[in-house]
Amino acid sequence: MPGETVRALVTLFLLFHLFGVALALTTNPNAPALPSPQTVDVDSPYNSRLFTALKSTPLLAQYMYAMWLDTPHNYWLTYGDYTDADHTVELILTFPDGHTEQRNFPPADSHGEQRERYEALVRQLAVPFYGDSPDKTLLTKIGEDLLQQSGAKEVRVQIRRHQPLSIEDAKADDPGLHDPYNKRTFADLYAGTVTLNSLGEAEVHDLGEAARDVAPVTGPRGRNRSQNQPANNPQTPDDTAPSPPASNGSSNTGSPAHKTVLPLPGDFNDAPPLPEKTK
Amino acid sequence: MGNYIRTVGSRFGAGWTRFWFTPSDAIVLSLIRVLTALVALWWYLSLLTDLQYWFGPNGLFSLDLALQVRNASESRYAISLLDYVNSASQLWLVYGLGIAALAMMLFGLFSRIATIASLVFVLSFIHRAPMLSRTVDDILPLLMFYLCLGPSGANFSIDGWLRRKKQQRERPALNSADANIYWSSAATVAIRLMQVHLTMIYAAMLIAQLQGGTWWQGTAVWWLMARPESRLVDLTGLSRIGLAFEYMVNLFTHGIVIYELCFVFLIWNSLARPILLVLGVFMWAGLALIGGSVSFAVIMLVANLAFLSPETVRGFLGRQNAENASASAPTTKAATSSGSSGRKEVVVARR
Repeated sequence: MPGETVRALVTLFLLFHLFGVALALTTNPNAPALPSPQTVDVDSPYNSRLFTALKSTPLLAQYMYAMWLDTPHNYWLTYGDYTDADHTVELILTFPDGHTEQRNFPPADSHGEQRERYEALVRQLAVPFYGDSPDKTLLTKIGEDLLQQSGAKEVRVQIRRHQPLSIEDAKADDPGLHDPYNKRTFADLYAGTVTLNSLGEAEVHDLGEAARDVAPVTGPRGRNRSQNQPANNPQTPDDTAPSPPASNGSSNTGSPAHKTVLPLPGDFNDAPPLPEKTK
Repeated sequence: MGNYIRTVGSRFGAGWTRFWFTPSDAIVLSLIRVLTALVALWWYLSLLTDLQYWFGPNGLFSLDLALQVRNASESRYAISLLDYVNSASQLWLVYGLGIAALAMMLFGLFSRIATIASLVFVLSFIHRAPMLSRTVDDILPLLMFYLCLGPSGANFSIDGWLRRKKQQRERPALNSADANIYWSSAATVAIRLMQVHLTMIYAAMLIAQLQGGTWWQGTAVWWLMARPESRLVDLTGLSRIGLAFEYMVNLFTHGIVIYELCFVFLIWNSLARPILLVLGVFMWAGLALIGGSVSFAVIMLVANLAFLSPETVRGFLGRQNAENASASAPTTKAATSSGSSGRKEVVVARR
């Protein structure tokens, strides 16, 4: 066993380290998450000012972020809501000579780790669009880098959600209901274009009113209350949450800030028609 | 009152010392090193196909983007060798060095240095593109960090083989079993950190899941298996079985929650520990199949190994049981972690 001095020094390190880990775990799972790890926002209403101030402690904050330890580990896996569904991003690059090129995230031929990384990226891009004022920073930056990399003059972005089937749909005899790739299971979340202005900076332009099959936003209270709500009316008008952030990298999930139960099959009857997919 | 405080202080201190500093056999740490290195190598090699597309000079995830994410908060200080890469060839060089470091970590050559270097390379890619990070990207660096703290190269390594050779040369009379076992307090610190952190992870998962209605309704497993793009196997056709299938979904959903709850409290009990470790294999394998996060499931199973006892590992590998070498064990003894009886002398450090 090491001597007393060594044990004392190691104990100090252990206390410092475990304190940081415990602070990281105190992040409110309802809080908006940015590309991980968590941002320390002193004005955030989701965490106590004490914990926020402690997390900003010099040295501790740098140590935790640098070692990628400042993660809340709140892996809920799924809440069964829109943000937990699979999403895809279709990118159509238009070059100066007029020809176009399509890329998909995730690419159709991707698998394993590569596919999971693309899925994480797509979730980061998609989740902000479930809120009222989506943060397009990541979309803008990725579009800019893509344009500079490829030499294209414009990239059209279409973010789509692939809704999982409910149990009732999956066991239905009607092939239109139990087919997980039926077109009714796809919903357009956002369509826009990214171009570079004269200064070489990216600008995002929304393409009119895309078919937004976006679930109404509910806050933390709405999450528990939604269990008792009629399936066709999950909205709780009094429960609104701030713009949902991108996923914090937690497993397979989006923001916990708004939780709605996925609609039952009948809910899609009133959804606006999906736009034609660009060939 | 003073006596009470002194008693609490001295007992806490003794327990703390016993928990963290009792020398233990480093074989479990070494096993975790090998398996973590395999996962890290897999993780790292999967970047190969998109390396230049993502991180190259004109890559999708430019340094500007990474700095924008980091500068969102003053407290963000990132370790990333990729910040200093300016050309495709430099990127290949850095990437190649990372593979070399991970290979050295895997085979246990200059293990401590290789593990630290491997951690730096892994963190470099994570910090460069945090928007690509997934759950495995949270667990892998923390395991690697804890491996850096202990003698993870003591066994299953070139370092260990060289050490034993040297010991046998210098002390020919040394029993081979004694030469095989590397007792270290640093190993205990590293393993204990893994155990404590892992327990906190399960607790955080449990609390997060209970925030969602689907975990109470028992339908969360369905919503995992019903995602067509993420799952590995499609089990949704079983829904035609009817009510029995829905009961199964409910059972597995609630089972996951109960497992996590039990893990947090009962993993420290020596009787419950083997059951929980075995059940964990089934749980994580199932989650990998229906959810698609194979690497997350694998790294969590590797982390779970921190709760294995050295005797179990040696017994499984057919090596000398640690208790047979008790004659050469360090003079400081340990109590069982399942509950201290206040005994001053027990043969080995148990978990």
